[in-house]
Amino acid sequence: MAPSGSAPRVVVTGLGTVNALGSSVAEFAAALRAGTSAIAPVTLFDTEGFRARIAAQVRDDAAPDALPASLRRRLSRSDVFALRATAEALAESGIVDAVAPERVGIVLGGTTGGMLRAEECLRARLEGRSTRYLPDPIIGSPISVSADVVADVFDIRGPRLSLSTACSSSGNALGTALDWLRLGRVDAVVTGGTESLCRMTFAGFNALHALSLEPCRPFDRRRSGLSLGEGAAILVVESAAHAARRGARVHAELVGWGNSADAHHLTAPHPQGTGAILAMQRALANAGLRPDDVDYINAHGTGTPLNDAVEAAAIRAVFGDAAPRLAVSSTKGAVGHTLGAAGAIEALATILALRDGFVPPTVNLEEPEPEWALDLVPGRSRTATMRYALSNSYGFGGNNTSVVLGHA
Amino acid sequence: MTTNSDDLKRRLKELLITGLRLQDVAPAGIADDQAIFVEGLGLDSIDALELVVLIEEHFGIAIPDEEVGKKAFASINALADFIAAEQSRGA
Amino acid sequence: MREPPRVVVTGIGMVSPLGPLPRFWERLRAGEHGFVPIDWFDTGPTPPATAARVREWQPKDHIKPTALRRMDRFSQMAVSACRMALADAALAPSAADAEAMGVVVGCAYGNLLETETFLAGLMAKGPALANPMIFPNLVLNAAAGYVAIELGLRGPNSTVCRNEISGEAALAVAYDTIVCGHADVVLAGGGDEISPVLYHVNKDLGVLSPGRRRRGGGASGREWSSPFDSDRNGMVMGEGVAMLLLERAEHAQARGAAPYAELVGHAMRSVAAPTHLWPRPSTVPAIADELRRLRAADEIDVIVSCANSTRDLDAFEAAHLAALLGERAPGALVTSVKGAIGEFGGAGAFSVAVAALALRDRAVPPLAALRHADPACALRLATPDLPPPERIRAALVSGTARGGACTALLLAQP
Repeated sequence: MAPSGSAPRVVVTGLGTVNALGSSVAEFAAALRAGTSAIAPVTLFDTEGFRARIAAQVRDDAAPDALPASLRRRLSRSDVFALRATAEALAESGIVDAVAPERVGIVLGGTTGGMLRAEECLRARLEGRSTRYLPDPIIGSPISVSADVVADVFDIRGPRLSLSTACSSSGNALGTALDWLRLGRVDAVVTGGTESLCRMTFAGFNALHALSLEPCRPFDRRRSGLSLGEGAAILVVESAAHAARRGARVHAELVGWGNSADAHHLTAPHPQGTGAILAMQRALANAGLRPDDVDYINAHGTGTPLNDAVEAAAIRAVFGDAAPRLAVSSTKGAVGHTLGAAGAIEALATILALRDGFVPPTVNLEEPEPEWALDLVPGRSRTATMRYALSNSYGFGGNNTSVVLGHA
Repeated sequence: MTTNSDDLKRRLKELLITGLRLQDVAPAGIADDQAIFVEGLGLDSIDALELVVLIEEHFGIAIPDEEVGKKAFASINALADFIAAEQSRGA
Repeated sequence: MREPPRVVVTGIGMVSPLGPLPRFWERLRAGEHGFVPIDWFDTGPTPPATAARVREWQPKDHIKPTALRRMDRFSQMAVSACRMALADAALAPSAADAEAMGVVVGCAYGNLLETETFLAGLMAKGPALANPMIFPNLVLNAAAGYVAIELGLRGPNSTVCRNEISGEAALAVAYDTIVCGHADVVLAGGGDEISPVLYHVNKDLGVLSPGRRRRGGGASGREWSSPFDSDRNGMVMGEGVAMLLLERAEHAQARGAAPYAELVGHAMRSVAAPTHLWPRPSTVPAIADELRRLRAADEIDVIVSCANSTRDLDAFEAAHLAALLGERAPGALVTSVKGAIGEFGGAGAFSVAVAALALRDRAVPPLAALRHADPACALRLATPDLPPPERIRAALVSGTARGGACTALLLAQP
């Protein structure tokens, strides 16, 4: 649906992140520009026996200081990332002083939630070290808990929601935030996603032979799988009019979004990229844009043989003659595949690209497949003034999301 | 020897049925020379990975790559031959 | 803003402890419950020993064998409920319809059973022997993914996790999906299944009936589910999946569908509450203002509350609903499904289904277990002796989660 003339423009007025490339937006931006990769040996848990033993692990993972002890000891790793990213985003946006608490909503994406802690407690019971399941880590495991924790700490009292659609979770969260503002349900939304590494996902992708033994190479001829990552990214979004009235700094515009299901297979993408094509088309229509309005695509680009081939074909199908003029890059070689946080972390990368005028490179890409005829930005970042960009996220279940962002 | 081979094939069929959770299929319903990874049984690449794990777990035999896997999984006969060969080599 | 599209409920399907529709509704109205002794896992030496288990459901009646073998039980329930909802709505989607049809599933834990199996296997046998077949089923959106695959649905697809109000939240998201123009037809609902882990954890936390004496557990130590009862002493676990077919009103009209009800709208707000605890009755979410903007907000004759027989939640709901309704409180009849089918993350989808059924049939299922209404509850509770109401113009579904998220959905005569 193209928004009617009366649907408000929505803008991003706060940014926050914690991920393997940086503990702040400024660090993240600098690392993206520099083409750094944060994929390294995993130290969070023992990877003995796994085929792949690397990931983009957050090293600076301490909980924020000023928290009551009773809360601190129950926080999952995902909660910690979410809290830190939200603190940064809110501090910068100043939204808390400007809007009544019940007019601020929160919608976050994630997949593992508090699984890392829950695993440890399950293991204790299975190994007979405990006769019970510790309640706290299990109750703290659903992904909804991060939204509860953030809302509690920052006193956010509007609508509260968590979405879990595997790797497209936080793309869908951003889209939902946009819908809420268009419907006038709230005046501002804290949105994004959070994710932490855990043995379960590591073992699962390992068992599917989906992990690359060396750092992933999105879109490369020799690509052989993905590299996991973790972290959180949070955006504060509000209507453009609201932001202007209070003199807020605007980073970018959240222009539209689209979602689809492949209806094909739980893990393999539809071979013709039907779902990916639908998601991009719906996003563009929702944004009221044409394909040739788009300058940059931050691809899902995981580095698996199937995803990258299907995504490249889907991009060509949607953009046609405009495709060769696009810059298309994947940031997963830099920050890893952050699963439920990917949509948000990559939207953040896209916002920084639009705001600061650069195209992040596809780190580790050396030899793109020539027949794709796409500019996949191998090697180095470059300066570019861009108007609109798309961020793609595709998840298990065949869930596909595209979010459209625009220069402020 | 024939008994051992029949035994092995039966065991493999049972493994396929329980390990891959095949519904409404009995060992007698899987022919020895039937293609395993074709329409009939509705198996996909994830089932192939699962079968690799099951073979390793139950027979202690690793399937090193896709090439070897494709040949070994062509049929129950092929799989039985592969396992027998690996076992005599290993022993 | 121009008038938003109207959304109606045209189909309901479910897998439940009271069986599928229409038996679920007949039994609920007759005051039956679905609680049975737990005999499918070891509950240990202490109570509780009952739960509401899904019954009268054969997955292979709804799903072909080749698909069934890979699907986890929760996904099987969701796919079955969706097929039944489509049949109930008399909608056999064309390829074009299916390409646009959306799916929203709400659940708190989803496939916890296979999660534990996968982890147990990983820990016992090591990474090389971890099970690749069940790993894809462990994502919370596996059910919504399987629904899309089995029914060929390519519209907007989402999975919502909102603890105890995952069902209500899924309906709210589906409503927004249609009103924002992303789809004309959406299958929405949710549920959860019982797992031994959750049973033991809830028991340790003392939230399951008969509770612990120090928590003011009921004098009799009786194991039961009786929302709003003065002797209530904790919740009883249940499971199931309910899915509703939501359609843009014009779409339903064009194909001659007869709706159960209109889903007029919803309001979602939160109160300050420590994570994992129910909010205190003294805290009131700012839902009233949002609700008042909706058509028929002044005509609420029935409320389906999330009250689940815990001391804390029912106390909050009693205060919250009384404040919400104001002077109209003594008029509206209040009921809850949890006394019949127990408590589980996505149970609110059943609350919405019941609201739709109540509107269609002008019938309110009673709080059949109620012995003595809590004196602190100023609401008019739906006791079995009450005659059917003269009219039901609108029905409110109220949902509150631990941690303080609240949702109110308003349904009205179509």
